Amino acid sequence: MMACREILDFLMEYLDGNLSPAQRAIFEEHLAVCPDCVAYLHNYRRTVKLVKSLADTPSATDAPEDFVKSVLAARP
Amino acid sequence: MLVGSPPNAGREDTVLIERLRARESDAFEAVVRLHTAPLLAVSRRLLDDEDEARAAVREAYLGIFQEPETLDGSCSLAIWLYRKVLGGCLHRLRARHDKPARAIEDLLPKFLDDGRQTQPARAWNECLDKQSDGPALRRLVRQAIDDLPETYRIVLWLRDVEGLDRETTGQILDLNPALIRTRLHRARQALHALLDVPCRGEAS
Repeated sequence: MMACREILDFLMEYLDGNLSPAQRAIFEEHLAVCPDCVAYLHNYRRTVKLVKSLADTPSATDAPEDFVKSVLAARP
Repeated sequence: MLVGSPPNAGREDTVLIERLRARESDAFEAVVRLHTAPLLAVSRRLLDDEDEARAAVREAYLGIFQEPETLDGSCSLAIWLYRKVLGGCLHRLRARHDKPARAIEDLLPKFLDDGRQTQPARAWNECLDKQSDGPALRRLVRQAIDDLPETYRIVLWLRDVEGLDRETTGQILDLNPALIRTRLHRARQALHALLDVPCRGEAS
């Protein structure tokens, strides 16, 4: 059976669906008996979700005309 | 702007680059009008400061204005500008940091000889899921990201915040996609370690 070390090493491959069916089965066999790795898996997912939530930070997506003009005015 | 864009300069870019190299005034204007909004958005997210964000974008354009011959068509204009803006943003972020960078190894999971975790993970506070939009939680995540070593932080940022694919991230950082993948996973693990105590709802 896989050790926790391998589970944590291949976590992203697992979550991205990049493991073969056989590897996935071995992975899930470990998760079925290891609450530590299940907790890590959940926390890892949440970590990714928290980072991705920063993309929604309200931020202007415009190109202010005064800025565009100041840039163009700086042409040599 | 970047996701799905061709790695090399496409036909339109090639024409525009030729015009820039010929220092045609309206070519400069076309580039500025086309790329400013997405570049400013990236810069604003990274720096969280309007003046600094504008300065980083302005510098990237000045590079084209002053030395258009550096545009050799080996990458698209969007990638070229993104690299320049990113470089300017990282330079500014480094200037803000007064703490020595942490070693990534200190933030990765540790294991016993039999392969088990030395410090078994414990589930995070359930209420986190409902708070992901909260300003305090955003600040906490942002500070933790800032504590990551730069080479890992920037991969995490481009992949998970900017949503760029592995190939585009590799082009911007001049790294192969396999290394991008390794660094992203380690950055997420390191960030997990930095968020672990606060997200369990315990005082550090």
